[in-house]
Amino acid sequence: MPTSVLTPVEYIGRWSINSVRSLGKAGYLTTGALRALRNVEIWGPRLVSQMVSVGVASVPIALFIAVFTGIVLALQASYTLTGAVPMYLVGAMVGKSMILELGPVLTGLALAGRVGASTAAEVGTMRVTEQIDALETLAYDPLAYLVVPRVLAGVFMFPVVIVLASAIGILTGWSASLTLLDMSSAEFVRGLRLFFQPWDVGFAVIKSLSFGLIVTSVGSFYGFHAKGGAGGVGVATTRAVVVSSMLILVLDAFWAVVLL
Amino acid sequence: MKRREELLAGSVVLLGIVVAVFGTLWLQGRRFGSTETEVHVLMRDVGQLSVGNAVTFRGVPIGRVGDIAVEEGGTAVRIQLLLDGEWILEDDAVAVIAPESMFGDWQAEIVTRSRFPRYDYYEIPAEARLPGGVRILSGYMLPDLSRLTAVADEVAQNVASLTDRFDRAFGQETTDQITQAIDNMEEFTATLRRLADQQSDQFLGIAEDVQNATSEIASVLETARGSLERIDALLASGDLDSILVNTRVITAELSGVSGDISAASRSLSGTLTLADSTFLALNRITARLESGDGSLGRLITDTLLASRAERLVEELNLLMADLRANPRKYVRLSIF
Repeated sequence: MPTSVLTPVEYIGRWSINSVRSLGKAGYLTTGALRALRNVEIWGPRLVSQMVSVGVASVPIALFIAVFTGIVLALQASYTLTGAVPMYLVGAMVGKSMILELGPVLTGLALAGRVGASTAAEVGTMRVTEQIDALETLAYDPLAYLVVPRVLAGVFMFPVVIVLASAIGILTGWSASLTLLDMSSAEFVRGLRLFFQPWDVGFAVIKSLSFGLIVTSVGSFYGFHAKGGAGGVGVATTRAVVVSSMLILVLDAFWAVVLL
Repeated sequence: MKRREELLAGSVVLLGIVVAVFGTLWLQGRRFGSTETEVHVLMRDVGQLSVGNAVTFRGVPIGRVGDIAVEEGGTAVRIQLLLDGEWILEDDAVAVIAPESMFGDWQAEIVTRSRFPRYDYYEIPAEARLPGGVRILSGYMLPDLSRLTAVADEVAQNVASLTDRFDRAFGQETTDQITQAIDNMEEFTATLRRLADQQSDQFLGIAEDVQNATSEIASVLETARGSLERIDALLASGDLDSILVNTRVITAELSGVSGDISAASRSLSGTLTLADSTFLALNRITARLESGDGSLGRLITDTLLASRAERLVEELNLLMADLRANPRKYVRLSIF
């Protein structure tokens, strides 16, 4: 068989085997992490520091993104709607967009870069410097020590950060409507309340939970399986960010189909 | 350091929870720290009304829709209205659900039944209240734009169908058929008039015969009356012989008169019989003519046959002319 034909076939085969192997590793990591939930004495003390690292430290960047997203959303809504529909619908568009879509997704993507990269880099560095092996030698469960607190912190803190970001986005959109669009507060609030459903907040929280789970899990996975030296950590970090971002968009579509 | 981290994380989490909970309540239109009046509305359909939509009174927003649920059994929908502050509604207060604008937002407006008495409100017992004293109102939903559009579409389809039928009824084909029918009727009328004229002529003849017969009878009766007067005179005079003689003469005359009367009666009877048979014959002829039966009927109804007969006559004329002009061509006389 000629080499030119065999090479792509080999490539597909290698890719398939690696994919299945990665799935197996992910399954192994997931089951190990679930088992490690029993070791509260290991992950419990580290949970708060991870909540601060994953959540509290991410608030500024999330709010920064939300401020400008709210302003731009109000201005673009006004630009699109002027002359066509009443201006109070700017409030409806800002509120719905920030709560349902832009707040969770933009914040999730930003945190995928920040949290996913830091998780993959920290865990990856520990892997390539054999600190994880040292933990195992000391009879510490590395999953309980490194993965579980990060994942739990992500699950707890992502919704908090995203709720704050959405609220700030709406407030800045409101401010922009008052100062730049000559709208009144009554108009904006009327539109804001017009199509609001309490389920919108629940939908955003569910999405945020899944984003937190995915970003921290993917970062931990690539860090845990990093190879080589600093280069391997870099590759793991890059892959973690890319895969997390892709999975956030996939999950966004998935929840929209399932829950809306 | 650890306490500071805990304080920080706890603060952020609490802030997130507070923002989520109070933000949701505020966006639902709930006013914190103020009293609310709860009112329920029963109606058949709520359209696109949703929880959080405005409740208005005389155009002023006074509350929001708190809950919407289908009644047990599915016969009605129950809407919970939460009015800001204390409200005592009028006895005939009802709720009208209608679009607030053309952009999908609806509202529940509290009005009095006397303001819109013709609406088909969901009927509930007067002064109906829930156990907690919560008032229950009747409600009616105004049709939204999409329903009106659907009805207008149906009306437009009906008008289009009607127009199509009018178009067919007054089309060229129908006009041609009506013209043809008028022509046929005109022809039928002319034929009928001709038949009536013929029957009228025959009837006049019959009537004349009857008049003549009547005159003859009157004449005979006059003669008989004169004879009877003479008999009476003879009887009065006592001249029996002459009377007998005269009677014989009169009898003879009466016999003759009777014969005349008999003849006249026979003539009248024959005339009437002839008239009956004439009418019957005329009826048969008319029926055959109408049905196009027979030569004359076919000649009347079948233009082709008429034209062919006309051509035949023309050809016979030509043949006769040729016969006169060239007799030898057709007749040869030879002896031996």
